[in-house]
Amino acid sequence: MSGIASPTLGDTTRALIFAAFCEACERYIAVRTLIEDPRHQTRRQGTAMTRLLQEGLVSVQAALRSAREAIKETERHPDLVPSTLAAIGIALAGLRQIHGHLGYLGVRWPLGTADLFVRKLVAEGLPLPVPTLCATDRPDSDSADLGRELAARLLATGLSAGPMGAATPLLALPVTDLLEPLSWPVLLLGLAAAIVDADVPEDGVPGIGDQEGGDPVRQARIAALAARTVGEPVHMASAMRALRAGLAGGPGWVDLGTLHRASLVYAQPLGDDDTETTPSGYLHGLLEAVAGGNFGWGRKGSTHRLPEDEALLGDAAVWAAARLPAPSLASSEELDLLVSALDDGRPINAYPPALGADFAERLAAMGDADAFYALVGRANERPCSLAAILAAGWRYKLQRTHALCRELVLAETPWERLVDTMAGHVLERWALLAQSMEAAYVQQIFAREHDR
Amino acid sequence: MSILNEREILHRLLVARDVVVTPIVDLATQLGPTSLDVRLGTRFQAQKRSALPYIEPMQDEAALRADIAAYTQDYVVLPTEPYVLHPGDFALGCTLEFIRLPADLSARLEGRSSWGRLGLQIHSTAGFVDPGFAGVITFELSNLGKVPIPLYPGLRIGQLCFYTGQPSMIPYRSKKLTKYAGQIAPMGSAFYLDPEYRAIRHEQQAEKDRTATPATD
Repeated sequence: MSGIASPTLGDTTRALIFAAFCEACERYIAVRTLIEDPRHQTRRQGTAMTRLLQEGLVSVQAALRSAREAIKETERHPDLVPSTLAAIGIALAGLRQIHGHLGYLGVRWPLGTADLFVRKLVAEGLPLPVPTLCATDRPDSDSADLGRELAARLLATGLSAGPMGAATPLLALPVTDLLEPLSWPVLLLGLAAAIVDADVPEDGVPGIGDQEGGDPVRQARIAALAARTVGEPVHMASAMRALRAGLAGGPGWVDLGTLHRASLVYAQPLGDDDTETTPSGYLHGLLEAVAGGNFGWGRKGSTHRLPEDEALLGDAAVWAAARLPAPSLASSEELDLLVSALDDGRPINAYPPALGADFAERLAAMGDADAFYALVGRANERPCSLAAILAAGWRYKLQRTHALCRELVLAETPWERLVDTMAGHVLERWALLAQSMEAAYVQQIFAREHDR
Repeated sequence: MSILNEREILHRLLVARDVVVTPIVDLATQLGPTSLDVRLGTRFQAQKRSALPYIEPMQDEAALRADIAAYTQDYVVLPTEPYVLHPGDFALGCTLEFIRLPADLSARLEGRSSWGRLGLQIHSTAGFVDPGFAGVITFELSNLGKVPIPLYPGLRIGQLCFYTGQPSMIPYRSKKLTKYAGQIAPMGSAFYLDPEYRAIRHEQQAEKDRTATPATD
């Protein structure tokens, strides 16, 4: 898994441009997939809205084509980088507007595997009652608990509102995110906030969207808990979402600076020597580039560890460790194995069994039922944790999807072929990741029973 | 063509690794003398009533897809909650396992006796899996009994028997017309993609044109 140049080294802005363009393409594909779903066209208003939204997508497509041409120009004219990022931002802003109209299709969006994802989080040890998810056409939904959000809004209108929605966390997920498993870790910020807030008085505690005025202890605990659950994918998903929101002019909603600094402690540790060319190095470099890009959130640019962080983040780590078991992270070799399975078009729900070197010989020599059961008893697969599936999915995205996007953008690929190739690639990856989570969840239930 | 026994199945799965079945949850219970049990996945597609009189296969593809969507409903079922198949109901499900076969191996999906005794049928016509297939295998679920059957993901409702033969030159993924290659959820029928419909459509159009053209003496 070597050879990923960190975007903080030299080519920062170009890496950021391709990451941003790839995000825009993926969002375009997600929105297009939702709009083209034939279920909308079984009713009159759905058919009419589909046509309208498809016309909107034509405009977005034109903006993406312009951005692509601008990216090519930055090869020779680096001074065009800001205007190129702005061009990508226009496409993303268009997609946000279309997203905001998806509700008019009148569809009840099935939660599908996203619902299973939050249940598996609880099954893996998150100390919460099973959360409830609601699909929303609001693209900027900030993953805060909807009960707290409604209470805050009622208070802002002058109404008195008591504690609301306290029984189980109630979280919103933008409908395009339903398709993309790699975006689901952002839900952990809302879930972590619910755990943190259960420990402190309700009065005067700001929401996680109020990052500027937010309580630093609360922020650090949220970051620590979220990262302790599934590791780095929380930070990547947050960074990508913030990048999209920042470029498209949407509201900032999370303290990326704290997340980034917390990730240095609580997620997978960085390698010692070759940090700059490892996926971990890439993740942190990209976070740094995103957070330092002045997109309007958090403690701008302060992604390096500050002296006061030591105590703050250290305390948060102890606090989080007392509430959550350590995440079940995959080793580097296991991640390589999972990424190569995705490369091969296979789901990554399980690790292959560790068979002895003499397995083939023992199989050939197997002579009776006792020998058979002794042999197969240790030949089952081990289910992957959500942390492992998400980490492999993000590695694949950073290594393969970004590279594919870069190649297609720079080559003379006709636009339609570029979009179709990207769509085939990302839709298959999303489906494989969803299937992996489903199969791993079911297998875990039987594995647990087996171990009892 | 011969059927693989348990030793040969294990060899292909774990030593040669040219057969992919994942997840392998518990080989001790899944492997039979000449079969491997497969489990029910989490995804289902049920048919529902619709105001449409029937699905007209001669429409254009987009209209056809919309009509089929009007008749079907997709579900993802939680591992602890059942999908209940009522007497007389028909639904599509799929294996929990992702399966990939090499070019020299085909498979046949069979039901399991315990479920058959309850009236559960897991396929009606398409139990054969081509060499080269990759994806989840679709169950055509019917309840032929008189009591509802709760179906939980992970239950072993089917079994695969593997048959070896000469390698195919056109394994499933290389076939010219494959409608379900790489599927990882139950896919509704894509019958309308059969080329026969295109031929009939062309002939219908030609007939219309002939009718519209005044005959000349």
